[in-house]
Amino acid sequence: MKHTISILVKNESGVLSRVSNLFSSRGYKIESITMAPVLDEDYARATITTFGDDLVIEQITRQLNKLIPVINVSDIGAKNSSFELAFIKLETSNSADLLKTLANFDSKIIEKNKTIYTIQVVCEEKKYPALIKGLSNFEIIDIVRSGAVAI
Amino acid sequence: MSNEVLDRELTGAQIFMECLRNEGVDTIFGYPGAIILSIYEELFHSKDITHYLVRHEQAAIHAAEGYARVSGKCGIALVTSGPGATNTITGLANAYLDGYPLIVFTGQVNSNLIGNDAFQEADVVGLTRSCTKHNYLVKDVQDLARIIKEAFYIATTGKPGPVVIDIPKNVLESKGNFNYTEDMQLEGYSPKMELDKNLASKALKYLCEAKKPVILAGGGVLTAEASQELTEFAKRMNIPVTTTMMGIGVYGEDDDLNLGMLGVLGNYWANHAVSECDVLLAIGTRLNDRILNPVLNCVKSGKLIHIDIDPCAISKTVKANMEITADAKEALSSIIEELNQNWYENNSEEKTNWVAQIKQMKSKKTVPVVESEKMHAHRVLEKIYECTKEYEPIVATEVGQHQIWTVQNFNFKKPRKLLTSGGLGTMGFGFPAAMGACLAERNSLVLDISGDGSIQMNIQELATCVEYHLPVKVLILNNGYLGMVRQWQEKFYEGRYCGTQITSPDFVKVAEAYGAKGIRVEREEDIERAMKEAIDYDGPVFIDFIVESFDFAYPWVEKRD
Repeated sequence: MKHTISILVKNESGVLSRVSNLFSSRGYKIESITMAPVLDEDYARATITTFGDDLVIEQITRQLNKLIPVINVSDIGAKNSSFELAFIKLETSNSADLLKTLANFDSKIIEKNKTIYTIQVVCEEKKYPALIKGLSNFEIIDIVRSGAVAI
Repeated sequence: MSNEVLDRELTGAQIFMECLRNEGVDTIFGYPGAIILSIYEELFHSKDITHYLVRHEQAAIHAAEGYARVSGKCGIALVTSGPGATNTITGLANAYLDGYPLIVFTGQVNSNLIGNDAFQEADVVGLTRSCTKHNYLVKDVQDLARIIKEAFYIATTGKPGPVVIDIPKNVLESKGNFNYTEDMQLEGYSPKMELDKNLASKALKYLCEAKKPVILAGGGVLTAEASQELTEFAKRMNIPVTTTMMGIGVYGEDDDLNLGMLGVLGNYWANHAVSECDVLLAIGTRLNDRILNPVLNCVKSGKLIHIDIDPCAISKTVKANMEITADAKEALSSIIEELNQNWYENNSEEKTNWVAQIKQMKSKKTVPVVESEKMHAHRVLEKIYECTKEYEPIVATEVGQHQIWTVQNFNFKKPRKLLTSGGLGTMGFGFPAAMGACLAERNSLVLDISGDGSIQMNIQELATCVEYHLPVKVLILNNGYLGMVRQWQEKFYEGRYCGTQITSPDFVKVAEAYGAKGIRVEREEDIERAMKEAIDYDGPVFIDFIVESFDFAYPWVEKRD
C-alpha cells in the first residue's frame, strides 16, 4: 500500500543522501521525494511516498528514526491526502477544449506562446491519473512533477 | 583539562589529541600518510597516547574492534586519505553488524580540492555511509571538538557501532579555540531506553505461565553487561538458555540450563528446543537469517517476546507478539525486580519436565568424521581447549569450519572471551582482533584459531605482533582447503571443488622469517607439548596443525528459503 512519510531532519549537507541511501540500501522503493527547509531554516522536511505492507512501513519508520540527523518521522498514512504541483507543457489549437478540461482541476495557464501552453496544476496525488487522461487528447510536450507533499 | 589548554588556540591536530585525552584514550591503531602528518607530529611528542603501526589499514580497524570487544571501551583507528580510508571499509562493516564501538579518523585532501579527483582523494563520507552508525566530514576546525564528542557519544550508546570522522588536511593544520563540552545531548538521538513496569509484568506473566519456555540471548546482553541478571533470572525461573554466536559466553556454557549456540551451525538440541518452545524470550539479538528458522517454527503456535535496544531489530525478520525496546540490563533488572515485588505463579512442574526433556537431547551429541590418517580438526580443538582452559584464554577466530569447531569445543564461561565475526563473517578478522585483545588485556593468554585460508588474509600483521611484542598464539588448522566452502561444494555441487583448494606457504618458516616462533604438529600426541611450548614462549607463535581435509562442520541444519 502507498504511504506518505514526512521526515523532519537537521538541515545539514548530505542529509538527503542519508535518507535516500537508506531506502536504496534496504530495498525500499521511493516513488517521490521532496525536501525543503521549514520555518526555522536549521531544519528541513522531506516528504517521501513509498510502498509496503504494515511491517515494511513500520520498519522504514524505525530505520529513518535511527539516522542521527532525523528529528522525527511520521507516517501520514494512506488515508490523508497528499498534493503535488505539476507543470505541463502541451500544444493545442483548440483552447476552448483545453479550458474545459482544466476546469475540473485546480489549474492555471501560466504561459501561452501561439499554440503552446504551459499549465500549472495543483492536484491531489491520487487524482493525477485522471488529469493525464483528461489531457490525453492534446499533444503533451513535457511534464514536471514536484512529488507529493502532505501535512 | 588544564586551563592552559582552554585558553590557547590549538591546531586541528592538537584539538584531536586533546579530545582523545579527554575521552581517556591511550591506544590508537593506525597507518600514516602525508595528509595526516600533522597528527603524527603530535603523536611523536605525546607520552600518554601510543600509536600502533599496523601493516594494513583493514587490520587497524579489526585490531581496534578486538580492543573494544575485550575492554568494553571505544576502539580508535587513524588512517590517511584515499586508499587508507577505502581499506577500512571491511573493518567498519564488521563492527557495524556486530555492534562494537569504534571511531575511525580518516585524513582527507584539502577542503578546496574536495571533488577535484585530487591525489589520494576518496568520497569517504559517501563510501562509509552504509557501514557506519554515523559519519562526519569536518569542514571547519571550530566544529572538530564538538564532532569528536558527538562521535564518542554515538559510537558507545544505544546499539554501539563505528563512527567515521573525515578531516581535511587544512582543518588539521588551521587553528581554532578548543572547547570540549562535558554534557552531551543530541537532538533526535535518545538511545537510553528503560523498560515500562507494565511490560515487565506482562512479559513475566507469559514466562511464568509457559510450560516450555526458552531464552535466546544475543550480543546485546554482552554489550549491556547483563550476564549476571540473565543468569539470575534463568536460574530462578528454571528456563533453558541458548545464545546466538555473538552471545556466546553471556551465560556459562558449563551450566545445566545452557543449550549452547542456536542456528544453522548451532547445536541441534538448541534448534529443537526453540522450535518446540511455547514462549521464546529473545533478548539482545536481531534474529537474523542464521537463526531464524527455529524462531519461525516457534511463532507458529508459541509466543515471541523480543527485547532489543534497537527498535529496528524488533519485528524486522519475524513479527514479535510482544515488542520491548530496552537495554538488556535495564529490561532484565526490571523483570527481576517485578518478580521480587509481586507474586507470580510459576508453572514450575512443567518447566522441570521440559528441562529434563532437553537434557536428554543434549546427551546425544555425536560428531561424524571421515576415516583418516591425519588429525581431525575438532579433536585438535578439544585438546587445545584442555591445554588452555585453566588460563581462561581470550579466543579470537577467523571465519570458516574452524570457527564452528571452536565454538563447539570450547566452553565459554564468561563474556568478552570469544572474538568472532558473527554478522559479516570476515575472514582475516581474528588475527588483528587478537592483537587488539593483547593490548586490552596484557596478562591474558590470547589465541587466534584460524584456517589456512583465513590466516593468509591478514598474515602481514605478524610483523606488528613481533614489533610490539604482542604474544598472540595463532593456531592454524591447515587442511589445504577453504573448508567451509568446500563443504558446500561437497553437499550441493557433488564435490566439484572449484576455487576451494588452497596452497599455503610453510607457516613455520613464515613465522621464523617474521621473527616469531613456528611449530608444526602432525600427530595428536604432540599437541599438548606444542601448546605448552607456545604458551611458555614469550612472543607470537604460529602452530601449523596438519589436519584432515574432508571433515564436515556438523551439525548442519538445513536452511529453508
